[in-house]
Amino acid sequence: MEISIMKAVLEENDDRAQEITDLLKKKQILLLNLISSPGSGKTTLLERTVEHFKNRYSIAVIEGDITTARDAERLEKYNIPLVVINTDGACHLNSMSVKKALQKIDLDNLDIIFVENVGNLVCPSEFNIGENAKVAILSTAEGDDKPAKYPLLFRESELMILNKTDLIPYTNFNKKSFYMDLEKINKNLPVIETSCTKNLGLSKWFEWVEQKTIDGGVIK
Amino acid sequence: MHELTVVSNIFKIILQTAKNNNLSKISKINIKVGRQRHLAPDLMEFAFNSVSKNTIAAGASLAIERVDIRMRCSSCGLDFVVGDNTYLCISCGSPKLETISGKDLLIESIEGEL
Repeated sequence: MEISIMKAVLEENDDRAQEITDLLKKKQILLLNLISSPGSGKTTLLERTVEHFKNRYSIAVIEGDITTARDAERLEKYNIPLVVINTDGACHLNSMSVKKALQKIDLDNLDIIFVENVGNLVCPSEFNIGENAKVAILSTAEGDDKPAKYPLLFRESELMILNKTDLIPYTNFNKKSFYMDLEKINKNLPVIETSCTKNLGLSKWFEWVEQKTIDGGVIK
Repeated sequence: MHELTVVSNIFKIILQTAKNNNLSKISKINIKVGRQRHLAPDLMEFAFNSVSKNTIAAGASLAIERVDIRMRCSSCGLDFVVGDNTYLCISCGSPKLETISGKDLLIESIEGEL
């Protein structure tokens, strides 16, 4: 006999994600989900970002890390709420673990939460965590073909950061083919070129975050 | 390897359905997977065989129907299938598209015995 089910496989994840969205909307908090390969510069971007906004916004960071707390340790100097989610091998965060992490943060005095997802271009893009936006980060050393090879992330994201542009002369990264591929996959995706270690291009990212706080209703 | 997470969710849902319907064996699971999802059918089967071992779903086949990425152009209204990762209207070239399908991840039904 055949029994009809017609149920979304990730329904539980999507339901929890919706609860997070509703909760953070009520608390007027912006949640940004940063997704990239390992070593693209997510943590350095967060260091620059927290430094820049420290007198302006109350920021918390949730770090998805497979086994260590090394990324979080780099952010400890800013004295902000930090929660590490060790996924014990899992290649992505899900909304259940993010919801638990939120219980460890005082949400009454907060403006922005950055989630640094597990370094991976594939899996994190499949799981909503209740974010206002996904941000894709790619470093030039990874190669210009990544949007074509991992299109889902570049379809799902609202912004892309192309980091380590200072390294282009030492790599075979071809900007022209990178932008040609991206135009096919997501012509509307804004790209900000940065070098987080050389402090290049970051003002455009800061402006984007500020605009997002307005769109996301983070006005206390 | 998020196939394991996906398959674990499928497994949870089908076991509950089997229990609610007093099934003693699950022989087939019909699922739909959109082509936009980065999910490898062979890895899903491998993961399913591991999680279903020694359960009423052991040996069941995973019938995966791939669903095309279909978009509707917001500018000219054309409904088309995305090929070669090109998300531009095949008629007017507009990037303003509305997703009709392709991100599907749905358990349609199970087949089994009482």
